[in-house]
Amino acid sequence: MISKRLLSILILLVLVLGSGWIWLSRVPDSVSARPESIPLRGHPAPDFTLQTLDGEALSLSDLRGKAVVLNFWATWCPPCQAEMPELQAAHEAYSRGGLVVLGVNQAENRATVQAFLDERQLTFPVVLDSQYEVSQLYQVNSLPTTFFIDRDGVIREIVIGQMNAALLKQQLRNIYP
Amino acid sequence: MVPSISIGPASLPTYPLLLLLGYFLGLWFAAKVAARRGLDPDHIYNMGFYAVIAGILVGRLGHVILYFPAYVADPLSILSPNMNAIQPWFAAAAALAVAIWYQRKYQIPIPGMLDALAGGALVLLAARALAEGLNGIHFGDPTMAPWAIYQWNVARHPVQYYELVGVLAMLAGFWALLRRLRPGFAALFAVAGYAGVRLLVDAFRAEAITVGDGYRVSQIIAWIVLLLALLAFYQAAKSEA
Repeated sequence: MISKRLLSILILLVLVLGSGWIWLSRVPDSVSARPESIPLRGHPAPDFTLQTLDGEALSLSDLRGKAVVLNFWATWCPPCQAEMPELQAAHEAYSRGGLVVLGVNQAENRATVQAFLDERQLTFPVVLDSQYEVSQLYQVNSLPTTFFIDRDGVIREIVIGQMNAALLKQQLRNIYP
Repeated sequence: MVPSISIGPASLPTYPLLLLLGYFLGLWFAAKVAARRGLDPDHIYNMGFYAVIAGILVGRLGHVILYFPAYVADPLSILSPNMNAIQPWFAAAAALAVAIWYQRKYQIPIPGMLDALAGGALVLLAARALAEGLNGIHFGDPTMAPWAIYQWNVARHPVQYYELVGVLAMLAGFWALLRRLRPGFAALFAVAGYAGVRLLVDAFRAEAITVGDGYRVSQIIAWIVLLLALLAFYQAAKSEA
């Protein structure tokens, strides 16, 4: 074992140097008050503007004040297809109360996406990420990926992979109590 | 950043992948430590596997209980592979209960077992630090230092890799001192070492929970834990003398 003398010195050093280090490492007010806008839990969601299927521009910042379920998807992705009914159900149940389910389609043409939505009677808004710009901005590397954004525009949870109804309900509680 | 790797047509997220790898590497290392402590390494493997299986099953069961109507409507969704559909406290409680049950059933000496588990935990913590670095989680302060890395479009302290290096150094120290420390004290060394690493590196994190005049809570906790661990070493040395 280590000697008592050596341990006494160590304890004294940790006591003095440790408290000094903590004092030196304080976070200035100006820094702690400004969380960066990045696609991580607890951070403001990065803003973007994309075209809807109608050709209108839609920005995420337009939805400030509403809870947003931002779902990245593609028509060829089976888990995306499987969770669409749950997203549609959430849209139908909560859109009047201020929840927006926003689909971000990855790099498919307008006609393909429109046909998919029509066939499945999906009515929530969808924007087209034709150049993968927003997917890159949000570091989306696998589909589906869903960001749950609260009314203040802060990301509360990120779910990678297909959600079942229970998981969607659980996550909605965080942003749409 | 490397948030995912492509293997054939599949894109695998690196964060859960590294945590999984870290868990099994940690189990392997814990078994090595157990062998050095004269314990049967198979007990560590068994305990680790039972704990993780119990955690997953009970964690999912907790989710089913809490969101029962949703699961009644679609019973097959109980088998969903999405690991988010788990109640973490249920999972942690089940894993802990199984580990305690296993220890009691086979009368595994606690000090040696704690050493083994602490060694495994250091491996897992190293894997987590690497995963956070690759995903830009818990990133560092902006810096002009030549070793800065770009995360979220800003040159920053590679604080996750500072932690990784620190934990690996503690792991090397843990292994080197294992034979010289009494059973149970290697675990204390691991706790002290990790607390020391966090006390040092958390100074460079961009974001922190703070108290008072901007003091970082994680550093204060690490400082107290480090002091308590050193005091425990001191007490042991005193009683030996």
